[in-house]
Amino acid sequence: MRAHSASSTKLDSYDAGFEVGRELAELAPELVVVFASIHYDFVDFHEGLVDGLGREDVEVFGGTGDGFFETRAAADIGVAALGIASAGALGVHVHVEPELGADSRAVARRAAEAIARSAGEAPVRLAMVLYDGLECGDNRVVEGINEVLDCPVFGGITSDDRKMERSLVIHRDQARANAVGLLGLTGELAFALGVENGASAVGASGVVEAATGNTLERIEGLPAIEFTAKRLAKDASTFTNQDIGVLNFECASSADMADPQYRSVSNWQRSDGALETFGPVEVGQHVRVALVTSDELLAGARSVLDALDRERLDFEPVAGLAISCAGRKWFLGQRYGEEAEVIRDNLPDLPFIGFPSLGEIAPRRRADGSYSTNLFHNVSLVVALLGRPRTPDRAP
Amino acid sequence: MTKPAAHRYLSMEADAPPGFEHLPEPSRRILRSGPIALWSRDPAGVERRLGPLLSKLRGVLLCPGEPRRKTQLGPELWRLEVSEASVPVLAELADAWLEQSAQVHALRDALGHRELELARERHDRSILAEKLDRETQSLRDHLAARTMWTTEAMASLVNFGAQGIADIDTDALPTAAVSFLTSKPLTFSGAAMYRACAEGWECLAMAGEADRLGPPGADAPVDDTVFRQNFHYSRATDRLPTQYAVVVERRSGLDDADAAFLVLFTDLIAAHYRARALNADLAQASAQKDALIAELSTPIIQVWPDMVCLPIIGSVDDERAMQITAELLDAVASRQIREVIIDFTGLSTMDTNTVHHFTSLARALGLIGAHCILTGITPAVALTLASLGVELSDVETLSSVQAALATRLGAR
Repeated sequence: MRAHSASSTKLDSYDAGFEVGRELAELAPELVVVFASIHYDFVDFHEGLVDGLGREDVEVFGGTGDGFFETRAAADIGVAALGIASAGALGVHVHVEPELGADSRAVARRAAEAIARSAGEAPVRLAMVLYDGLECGDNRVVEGINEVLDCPVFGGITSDDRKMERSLVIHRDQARANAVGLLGLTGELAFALGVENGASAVGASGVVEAATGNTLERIEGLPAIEFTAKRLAKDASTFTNQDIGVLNFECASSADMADPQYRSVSNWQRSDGALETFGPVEVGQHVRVALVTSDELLAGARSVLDALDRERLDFEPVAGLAISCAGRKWFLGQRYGEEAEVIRDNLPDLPFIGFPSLGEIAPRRRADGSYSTNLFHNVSLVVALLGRPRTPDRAP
Repeated sequence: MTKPAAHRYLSMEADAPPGFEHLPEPSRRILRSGPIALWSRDPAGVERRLGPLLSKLRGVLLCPGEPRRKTQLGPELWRLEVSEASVPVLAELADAWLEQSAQVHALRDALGHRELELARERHDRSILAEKLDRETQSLRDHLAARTMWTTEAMASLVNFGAQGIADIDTDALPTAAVSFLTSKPLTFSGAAMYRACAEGWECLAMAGEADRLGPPGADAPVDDTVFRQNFHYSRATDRLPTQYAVVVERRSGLDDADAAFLVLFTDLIAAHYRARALNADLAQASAQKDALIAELSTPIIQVWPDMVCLPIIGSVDDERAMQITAELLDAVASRQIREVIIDFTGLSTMDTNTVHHFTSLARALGLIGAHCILTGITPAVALTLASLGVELSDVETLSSVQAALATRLGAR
C-alpha cells in the first residue's frame, strides 16, 4: 500500500480538483478520500480530479466540513485529498444511501448491507462512515451499521462553514445531502484507530436513572443539572450556553468507566432540571462530569497519537485520516492549527488528511489492540492509521 | 497571483494558424485544463458542439470576421473575430488574450476566496455580536440585580445593627448573626461563626448548607464560593484578644459586592463585641472606684492594740455617717477595741444631724464596752455646736489626738 496527500485552496471547483488530481496522479490511486469545503460544485470538482489524475477508474469518497487539514496545510476554504494505491491488494467498496432523515438507523443499516454485499466473501476489515449531520446528529447511524458490520467503523458527521445550512456526502461526482456514505475496506489492510476528547473527569460517576433521546433527566437521584452542579460545586443557575464544549460527560456501560464515549452538553437552560446533549445517553449508563480546556484538548490529541505510536504498532502506517470535532475548532480558536501540528509532529512525513466534523465515530482501542463496539462521540479527535500488515519476511 | 497553467492553442480545422495544434476532437480534459485559444472558421458549429461546456471553458474562440468584434460565450470564454490578415500572427494575439484571461481568472479566484472568507468572518462576527449582546444583557441584568441586592442588604444590615443587635445578648449573637446572613434578602447558602479556643476553633453557630463552612485553617477551601472574615476584641483584663471568624458560602459564587458587604457585617459584629467589652470594663472600674472611695472614707487606724483612731476628713452626710457607724462598730467588736478616738480636725462643716450621728455613735460604742473621745473640735465647729445648742457633756472631748493619746495612755 502506498499513499499520498494533496490539498488545494483554489476556489474554482475544476481547478481545485485538477490541482489535487495532478498531485496524486503519479501514485495512480485506486481510492481518493476527499474532505472539502461546502462551496464547491462537486461535478466540476470530480471532472477536475479525474482530469488531474489522468484516469477515471478511481473510487472517490468524502464529505464536506468546516475546512480541512492535510500533511502540509490547513485552511477554512479548500479541499484535502488522500490517495491510496495498493495494486489491487485492497478491496474498496463505497455506497451512499439517501433519505437519511427518514429513518436514520434503517438507512444506515441498508448502507452497511450494501457494503457487505459488495464485499461478498471478503471480510470487511474497516469501514469509514460519513453522514449528513443536519439530518441525523446522533448515534442512530452507528447503531444501524453495528447491526450489520462487525468491524471497527470510524468517521464523522459532515458539515459546512458553520452556517448549519448544508452538508454533503461525496461519492465520485455526486455530492448528496440527507445521505449516509460508507467506505468498506477489504483485503490486505492493517490499521489502528484512536479517539480522545481530553476532558478531565471531575468527581465520582453516577448512574443515569432517566433519559429520553438526547435529554438527560436524572442521575443518581438528582436532576441532571443538579448532579452536574454538585460535582462541580457550582450553583446550577450559573450554567449558561457558554459552557457548551467546556462541560462534557464520559459515558460507559460499567462503573469502571471502561470504553467511555463522550457527550457534550448542548443546552443547560431547561426549567425541569434536565439537560440536553449532542447525542443520547441511555438509562443505566454510568456518567462522569468532565471539564476541558484548550490545553487539555491538545493534550487529548497528543494522547491519541501517543497510543498510536509507530513503535508500538504491529504495522507501518502508510496513511492517516483524522476527524476532529468542529467544536474543538471553535473552542481552540486561534490555536486550532496546533492540533494538526500535533499530528504532524507525531507522524512526520505520513500522508494524512482530516476535517472538522459535527460528531465523531470510533470504537475505543484497548491495550491488547482489540476494539470496543463502535461508538458515537462529541468534541473528540479520531485518528485512523492505515497500512499493510507486516509479512514474516518484512517483519523487523 | 497564481501562475497560469500552460496555454493551449488548438485548431479544430486542418488549416491551423501558425502556432496552433490541429486537434479536431479535443477532449474535455484538454479543453478544461487551462486557458485555451481555439481557432475555427465555423464558430457557430464549434459552439453547437461544445454546448454546455462553453460555460466552463476559459479563453478565446478565434474566428474570421469583423476585426476586434467580441462576444461573450461563457463567464470566462469570448469569441473574438479577427481579420484574415492577422491569422499569421494569431498565436501572439491569442497569447496576450490568454495571459490576460489567466490573470482575470486568478483575480476572480482570489476575489471569490476573499468573499468567502469575508462571509465566514461576517458570520463569525454576527455570532460573536449576538454572544456579546447576550453577555452585555446578562451583565446589565446582573448589575441591576446586584444593585437591588446591595440596597436591600444594606438596609437590612442597618436595621440589624441599629435595632436588633442591641437587644441580643452576647451569647445569642452568633446564632442571630448566621440566621441573619442566610435570611432574605441576603440568602447566603450557608453561614457559620467560630471562636478561637485552646483546641483550635469552636463553632458558635451555623445555618444553611454546612458542607464547606469549616473553620479557618489549612484545610479551609479557597475559592470564589466561600468567604471568611476574622475579627477580634479584648477586655482590659485579657492578655490576648478573643479571635472570631465569620464564614459564608454562596454556591453561585461570591462577588466583590458580597465581600464588601461581609466586611461591613463583620465590622458591625466586631464593633458590637467591642462596645460590650468596653461597657463591662467601665462598670468594673466604677465598682472598684466606689470600693476604694468607701475604703478611704472610713480610715480606722489602730494606734494601740485596743485603741483605734478615726480621723474624719471633709464633710459628713447621712449616708457617710451611717457607713462610719457601721464600720467602726464592726471594727471595735471584731478587734476587741476598748478606746476610740474620733478626730474632727479635718472636718469642714458640722450640722445638727452630724452631731447627732456622732453622739449616737459614742453611746453605741459605750454599749459594746468601748470608751469614745472626740478630738480636734475646731473653734468654728465649737461655735456652731454652741449656736445649735448641742450638749456634749456625756461625751469626753479633748483638743487633739495627741492629747487624747497622752491622757488615755498616761492613765494606764
